[in-house]
Amino acid sequence: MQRYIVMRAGQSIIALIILSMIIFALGRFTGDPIILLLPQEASQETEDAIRAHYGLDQPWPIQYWKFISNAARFEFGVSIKSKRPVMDLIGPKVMNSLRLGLAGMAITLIIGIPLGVLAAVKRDTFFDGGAKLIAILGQSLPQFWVGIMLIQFFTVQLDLLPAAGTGGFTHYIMPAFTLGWWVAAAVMRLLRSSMLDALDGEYIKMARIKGLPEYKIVWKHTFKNALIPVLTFAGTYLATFITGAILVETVFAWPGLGRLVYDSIIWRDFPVLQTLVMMIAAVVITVNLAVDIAYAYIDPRIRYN
Amino acid sequence: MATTSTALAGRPAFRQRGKQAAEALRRAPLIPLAIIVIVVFTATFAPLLTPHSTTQPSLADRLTPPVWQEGGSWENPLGTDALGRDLATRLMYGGRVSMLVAVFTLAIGGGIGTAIGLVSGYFGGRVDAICMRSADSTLAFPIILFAILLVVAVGPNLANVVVAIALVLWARYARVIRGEVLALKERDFIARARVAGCSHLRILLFHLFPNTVNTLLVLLTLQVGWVIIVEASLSFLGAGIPPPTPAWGSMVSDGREYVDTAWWVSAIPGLAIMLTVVAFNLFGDWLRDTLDPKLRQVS
Amino acid sequence: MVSSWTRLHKFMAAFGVMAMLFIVACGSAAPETVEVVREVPVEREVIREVQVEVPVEREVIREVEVEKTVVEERVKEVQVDKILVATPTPAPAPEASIQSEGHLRITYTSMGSDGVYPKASNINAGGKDVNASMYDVVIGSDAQGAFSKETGLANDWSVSPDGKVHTIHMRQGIMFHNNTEVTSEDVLFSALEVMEEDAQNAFINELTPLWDSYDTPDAYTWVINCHTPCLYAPWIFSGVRGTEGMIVPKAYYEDIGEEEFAKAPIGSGPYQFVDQVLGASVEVESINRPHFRGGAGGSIPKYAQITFLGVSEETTRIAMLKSGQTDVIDVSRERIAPLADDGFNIFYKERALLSGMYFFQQWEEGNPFGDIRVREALNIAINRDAILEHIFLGRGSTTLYPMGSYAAASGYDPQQSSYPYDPDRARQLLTEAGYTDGNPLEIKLAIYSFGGIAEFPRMIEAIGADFEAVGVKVNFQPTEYGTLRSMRRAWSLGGGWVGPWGTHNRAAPAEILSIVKVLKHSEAPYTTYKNPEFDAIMNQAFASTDPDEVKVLISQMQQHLLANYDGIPLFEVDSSFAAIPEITYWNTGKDSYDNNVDSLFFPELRW
Repeated sequence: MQRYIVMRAGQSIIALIILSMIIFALGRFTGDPIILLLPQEASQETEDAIRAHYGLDQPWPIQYWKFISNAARFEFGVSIKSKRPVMDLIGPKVMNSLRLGLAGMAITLIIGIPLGVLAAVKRDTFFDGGAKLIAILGQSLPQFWVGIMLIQFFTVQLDLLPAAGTGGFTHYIMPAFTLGWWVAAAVMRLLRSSMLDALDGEYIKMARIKGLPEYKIVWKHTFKNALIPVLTFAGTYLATFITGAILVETVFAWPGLGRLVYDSIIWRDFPVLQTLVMMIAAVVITVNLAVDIAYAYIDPRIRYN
Repeated sequence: MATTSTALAGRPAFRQRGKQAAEALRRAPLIPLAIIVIVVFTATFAPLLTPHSTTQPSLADRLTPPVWQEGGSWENPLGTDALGRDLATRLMYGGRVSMLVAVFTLAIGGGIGTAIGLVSGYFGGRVDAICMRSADSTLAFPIILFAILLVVAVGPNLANVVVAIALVLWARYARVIRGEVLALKERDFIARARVAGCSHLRILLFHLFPNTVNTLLVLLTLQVGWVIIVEASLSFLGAGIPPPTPAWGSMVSDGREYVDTAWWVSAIPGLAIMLTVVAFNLFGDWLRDTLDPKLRQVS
Repeated sequence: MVSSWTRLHKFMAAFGVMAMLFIVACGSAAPETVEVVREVPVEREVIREVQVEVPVEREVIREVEVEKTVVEERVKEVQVDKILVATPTPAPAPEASIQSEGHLRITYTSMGSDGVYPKASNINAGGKDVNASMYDVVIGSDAQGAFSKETGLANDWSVSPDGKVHTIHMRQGIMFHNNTEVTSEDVLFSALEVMEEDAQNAFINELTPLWDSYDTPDAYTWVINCHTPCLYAPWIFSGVRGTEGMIVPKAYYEDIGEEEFAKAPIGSGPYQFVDQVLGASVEVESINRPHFRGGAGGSIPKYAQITFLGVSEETTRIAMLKSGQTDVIDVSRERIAPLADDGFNIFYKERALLSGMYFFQQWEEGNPFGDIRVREALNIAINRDAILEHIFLGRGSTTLYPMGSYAAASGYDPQQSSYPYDPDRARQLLTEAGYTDGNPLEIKLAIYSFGGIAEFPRMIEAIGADFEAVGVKVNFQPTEYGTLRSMRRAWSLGGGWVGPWGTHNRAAPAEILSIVKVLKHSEAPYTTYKNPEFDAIMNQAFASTDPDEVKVLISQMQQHLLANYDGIPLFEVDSSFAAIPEITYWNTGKDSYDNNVDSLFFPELRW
């Protein structure tokens, strides 16, 4: 077991290192932050001075080594765009993104779970089709468009909800819905098929023969078992919500991580870009690692494979 | 011996399967199919269906409303966009571009992913570790951002958008197909093929691959919509199909600037996207229920 | 049975928790960055004030009490007149407020690079307005983009006859937000800070090669010594340009260091820093005492609190304005009409943004644009009037990029700004240059989004269509601003690249010379034109110590560019803003990069 964990962790670290190289190189292929930062009037001397100040005049391997060795000491440098420490930029946005991500996932489950149950229980009826359609609709419109339409309706027409920014409860409704509806179809499908599987199972047939009331069969014996894969899925997808909510963050001017990564690409703000991507990747890869190790504990066949 | 028994059992089994197929067809989602057919038809024959140019602006006619609204005319049945171009025409050509993007992306991403998934699952060990860690790394990165980074680095155009989406798409296929292969590998017919001395390539191509086709088909159908939406999202972030080429995603994205004055510029392509994606999704669901009821893979 | 009941319970609870996650997450929200409270002060008084100033409309005022909508309409019309006249004559306010009141929220497309101190030069998007609210500049400017002795720290200045020594006299008794006085030591310190190698300021580099030293003969006098004539040094430290002229307190800055200063900056402007959410908003509050920028004797800034927000999505900004989540937004020309219909006041920074196209690397061997007939043909192939009318909705005119109408007082003649539309002659010229239908001129036309001009991609598409109409084969080259800029610097745009660009309309000779040099001087890193004759005119202008001679030289430059079709000059268009009806006055000024937010802070002061 130990050998498996060590091997698997080693693989993850190698993956992370390769990813760091890719993101380092890819970032630099997109251009030069200094040219973008300074007005056209800037002289060659100014450009050179600032480039040297940020170490961007060094050869790539040296720049990469500095980045990776500093990162190992948890030093992430200074944003080229705003001259502020990278962690000052990231810090406040982590919580904002986390809150939005959780709210979005809550909406996903609130929409997806009842629809999934309905679709499974009323299989092949009008309700099944309707539930499917509602869930799929969320997946069939670009998120930015859903967001804009919500704003047009709930802010401009009805004047009910604030259009943008963070704040109280009302600020969460539209962005969380836009984020959550998108994945509701996946949850609904997953729940529907696992419930259908369970409903076909032998022991449900037994329960029916025993004469248990239908609601007990559905909720107690089927739903709770079918919920486990759904929650697993929701857990892994949460990471995407937190880091990948860039469209929603743009439309609703939400100061979160997705928008920060996007800005750092547009500004070629390498220190911010690299740090963020590596942080995100580290979290996701660690989660994958943990899941694999957990499975290995449960199922010994895996570790000898 | 084996041959005879199959031959004997062949007739009733065939009849049985025929019945099932008829039943499946009867339950086929007709409206979604009709939508898909219309989209593919108009996209294919766009040049024959419209007298207008997709790119030539006609500034004086900008933002003409659709025919059923005051100020509209049959000249531009769905109205015009911000440069006075016929929206119906751009919608047809846009469908063409969006479909091409979807087809190419899925062909490249799905192709690479399937190949890697087959190899990874079949050989296992070190090959598997490398492939799966690469897939993990790809999936560790928010898809849209990865695509933006690629497109910004190499410039936004149709080919690069396809490559960018395909580069993040392959990992899903690799994982799903690998999972299938891991299960298939344990089955007798693979072992038998190995004993019979089939080469690895032969086993991969003629024994394993055909058995993953159902899964693949379902996944591909379900993801046509996903690709269209990702293309739209990229357009919104300035990294999609660039003008003057019309694509549904970029049409919605450009048109959003007129939501309060000329709703049709973005709503009509938006509706086209919605109908198409829903159609492909429902079709994909049906396909899965028909071909592979056990498949629970979420797209 | 009991245990299974609790297990069921557990699952139900888990679902409940998930559902409530939403509420919990929202409940523990961070301190608000966006105030929803809507407290905009005394609309009635503002209206009266306008009425007092415009006696012509007296008759209308009677209607005020009866029908409000009519009145607001009138006020709006009056406003437009006012802006066009825009004489900087301070009129004492009839009822000057005794205290700052209310909360003004200004939402721009972007907060620029987030820098809130001069060295982190943040002049993009709304960045300079934020800094202008917190800092005073050495040399103030008026709404015409000219120097003013009223609005800066300096109340007088002079230059030695040889143009090498500038002596700047400062007003006394100006206090930083920490109640220390602004002295020449602070000015000297700030001027050196922006010269540091990690400073992001660009304009200072026009001075650095000519500069020798700074002096402070006394606490209120600052001297710039140059070894080579540097006639334009004061412009660099003025409000017309970047953040170089903004002054920070030396003692405080040195005490806490740059990194801490960036988090708690202090200046001497009418507003002081409160909080910043990087990439999203900056909040400042009134100093609540008279400030000299508010006119003779000083006056108290109007609003108690100001929040600057960056919201990139225009539809969202408009929704925020309509729902009362913000008071002022920047908005593209195309979306003005419905907002005006809804009763919002529209303000323009007239002709603020210039656009033109470059013939990249036209001096290279074999480049099609080496032939002046080709350059002329492309210029006259464009139907500029149609584009102005339909894409910019008439809110613009033609210009000789990179010079614009603001430069009218600096030797530029706005009447000679463009070329006629003559597609037939364009065809003929192309034929003469050897391009036929079988062998058409092929160009690569860059197409991308440009901040500030949302219509850019549509404009380029329309121009591309005009080119094709005269037989040019246009290959659209989709790109992105940063990428194109990098390619330009790397000289990788040879072989027929044409690219549109935008810049600010500039008023001062110093600014015009500086931008023309960057774009057209043979040795400049961004040059798009190489012509020894033109270089000579520019060199002469830069060496000149006589402002009148410079005007003549700028006029010569204009004639030269016009005659040589060095590029494709296009338009100068207004930037536009929408504000709630209560905001009736805003003269957006003619400074580069900022929108003269002072006229919002001190509306009594008619600029």
